[in-house]
Amino acid sequence: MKAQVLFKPVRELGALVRARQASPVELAELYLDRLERIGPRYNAVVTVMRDHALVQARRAEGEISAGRWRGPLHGIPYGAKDLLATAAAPTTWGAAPYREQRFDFDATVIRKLEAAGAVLCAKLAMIELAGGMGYRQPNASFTGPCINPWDAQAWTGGSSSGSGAGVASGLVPFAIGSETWGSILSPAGYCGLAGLRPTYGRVSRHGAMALCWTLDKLGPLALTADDCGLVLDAIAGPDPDDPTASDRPYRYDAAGGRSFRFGVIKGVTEGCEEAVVENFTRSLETLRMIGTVEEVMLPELPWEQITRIILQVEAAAAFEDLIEAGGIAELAAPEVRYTPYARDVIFAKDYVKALRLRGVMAREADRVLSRYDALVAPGRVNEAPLLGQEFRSAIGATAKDVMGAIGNGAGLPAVCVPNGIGARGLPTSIQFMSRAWEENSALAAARAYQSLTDWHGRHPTVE
Amino acid sequence: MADTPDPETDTLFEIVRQRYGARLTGEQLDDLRKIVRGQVDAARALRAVRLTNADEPFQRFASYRADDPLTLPSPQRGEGKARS
Repeated sequence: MKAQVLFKPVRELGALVRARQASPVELAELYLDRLERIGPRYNAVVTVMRDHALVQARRAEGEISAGRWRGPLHGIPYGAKDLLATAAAPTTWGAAPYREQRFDFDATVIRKLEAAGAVLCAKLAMIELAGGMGYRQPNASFTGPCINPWDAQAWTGGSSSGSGAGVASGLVPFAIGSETWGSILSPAGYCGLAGLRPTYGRVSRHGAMALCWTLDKLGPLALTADDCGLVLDAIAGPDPDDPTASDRPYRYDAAGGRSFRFGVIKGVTEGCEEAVVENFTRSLETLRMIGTVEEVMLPELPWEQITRIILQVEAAAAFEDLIEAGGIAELAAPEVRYTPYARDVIFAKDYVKALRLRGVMAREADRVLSRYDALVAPGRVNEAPLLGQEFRSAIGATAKDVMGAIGNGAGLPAVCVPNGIGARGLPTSIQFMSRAWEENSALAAARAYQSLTDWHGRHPTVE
Repeated sequence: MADTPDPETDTLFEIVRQRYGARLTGEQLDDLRKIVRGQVDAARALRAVRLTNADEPFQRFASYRADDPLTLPSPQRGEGKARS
């Protein structure tokens, strides 16, 4: 069983389950065992939901045996970032002040995955409060720094840290993460996974911890871009509990065989590590086998400052009570026990200016993206940072990330997939960012790239 | 640039110091001053971009009625609250 299924994409697992060559109960048992046995090694898991998972798995097995197959996620185990409300387990938001917090309902994403027949096995570790308080180093969760399965000295990235470590180490076949700025693409990139940041509004945020109301997005991390599409198909859609969830229809389109037009923002590799630049350059050669690659220019605008000010103000407002009461002193990262105080003195007028400039950002991004299937760039500027070190970040104004600033500021979809190995033996990555609501374009491009490369077939040695 | 004197930064930092200084060490206050300076620099970058009167915030607002299909977020309706 183990050799047959471990590190197999969701699509293949789903086919095995449908053909009754893999049992949902046995699958759940396998992954629950790994979550309990291997999860602590990486600080990847907050709560293993054994009883809950086995109930769901038995239900799936009974339905499939009776000929009622719900789709490719039916009977497939998964993990959820611990900012998604679940009635069956605490929801800690990764932060000590909330470690006993419980909700009496399931987030919409959790309910949608249950309806698709997926089996929730664990709540996965995350950076406290999704990193919105301004952490600068990996030890920023009450469960400890999340360790990268590729290298015990390296971090997973964040804030969906456990979602990255969990999929990369075979604790779950897929996981749900969230991104406000970089929190899906970072762990996906550093852990050698596929990560999908959907368009803002594509997936309901109901039941997810609010960090920034106009920036938060939920999406999957998995072994392949194709798997991300399968998961998005299950979780996308309108929700009366979240008025920002769009009623635009979404169906994942897995068709292939097309050619693409790719754009590369001039200077997008500035500040990247040498190996990242080399691997990205090689990736562009691969992409020229399936399409055209053109350099594009963006107008000079303070892209990062726009998104940063929106993030800083909304996060400070979302956690106003915690900050003003001094509750941030209980957080794990020493720097976030006081740095949020500075946000009290960002002028309202400057926040509104950022929201007005966001319109310019959205229009400029759409003008450029309308000519391409995707803009491509390195997924991360570097290999995974070391555990004990401060890292550079665009949110902290110590690194550039124009793609992330525009992608999150304008709420655009992006897919990140592995594209090589860096100088320290850790994965590097490439991202595909498309026009709003065009997840299928980004996914098709990433899937086509993965059809020509085998980086997604490489996994860390876990045991 | 972050270490050069700047009246706006000084004034805003003083507000932070007045509000929270009793909780903070000297080292933390020094760090906060640098962060405030970074915020001021970011705001200046935004202020330097000229917009027209017609450039509205890119943020949808809708008037609310309880019987309207466009509902307020659920926490504002009393759902989604933590039990403990």
